[in-house]
Amino acid sequence: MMDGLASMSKTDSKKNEPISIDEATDGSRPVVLRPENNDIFVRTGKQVIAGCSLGISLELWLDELSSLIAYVTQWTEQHSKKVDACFIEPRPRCIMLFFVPISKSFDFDLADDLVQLNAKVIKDFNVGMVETHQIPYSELERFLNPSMAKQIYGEPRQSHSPVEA
Amino acid sequence: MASRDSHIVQWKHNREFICTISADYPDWIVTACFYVGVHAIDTLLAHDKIYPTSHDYRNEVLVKTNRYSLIYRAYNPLYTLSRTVRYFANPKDWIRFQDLQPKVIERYLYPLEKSVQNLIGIDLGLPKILLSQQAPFIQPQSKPAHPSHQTPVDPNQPDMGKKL
Repeated sequence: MMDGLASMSKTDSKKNEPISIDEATDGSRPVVLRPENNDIFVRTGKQVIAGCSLGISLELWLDELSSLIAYVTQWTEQHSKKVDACFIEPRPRCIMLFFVPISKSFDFDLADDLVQLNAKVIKDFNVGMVETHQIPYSELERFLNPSMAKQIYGEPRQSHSPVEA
Repeated sequence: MASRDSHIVQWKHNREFICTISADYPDWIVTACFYVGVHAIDTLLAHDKIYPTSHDYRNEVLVKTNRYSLIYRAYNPLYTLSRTVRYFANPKDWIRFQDLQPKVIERYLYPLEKSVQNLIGIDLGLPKILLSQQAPFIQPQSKPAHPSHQTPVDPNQPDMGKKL
């Protein structure tokens, strides 16, 4: 009984005791995480710390991404004589911006404008690398992942004309 | 990692290739122009002791370094055009052959090459790139080629082997 009380008391005190992971000393130490669904995750101390850092910067990253979208949308409105539509798709290695030109072929003047836009958004928004590409409507499906991409400018329309009966 | 000189060799090699591509393949002419640009840039980066191992890393170095800002301006359209057009179902609708000389080679590739040479402080004496107006002559295997079937020599065409 005494042992049980002592044990309970020890457990209670442990609940309030912070678990400390010091990267310098615990960086390579295995950390076992046991969620309620009986999964077991084994991570190193360094991975746990990195995960927390990502969690914090992810929030900031989303704020930066929202600002970038607002900026690009405004930029595209100012270039509405050249741009018909604009899509954004975050990918693991970079943010992709796809511009559908009004021109039926590659618009070289728009390309020069997009270089400046590309450089500016990379420098002004903390979202990592960004790529800008021109593509025709007819090729959208080849480049865009519909579940990840978002149209940020232009009238929604199908990339392929439906076959007429 | 490739040396500056080996990138120069490949830069010239790809330049020669551009001149051999038929007008029927504007997408591949653009792609070859892009790889000329890549080797020109890698020549400069090797000179600066930077050795990119991916397009992403090269792009990041170019866009974030003021020294390369002029090069980035010329290189980026080549990058984006070549990355997309070769996947299109109808590349000739997107990029016309008649636009390649003025709008790809003279607008982007030559300024890129010039900037690289300026920053390195060398003059490679690169000749003008003259695009082939017709499909390269393919010699029949069964019969010897008639002299009249051979590709005529263009006096304005630079002797790539000697000058490069």
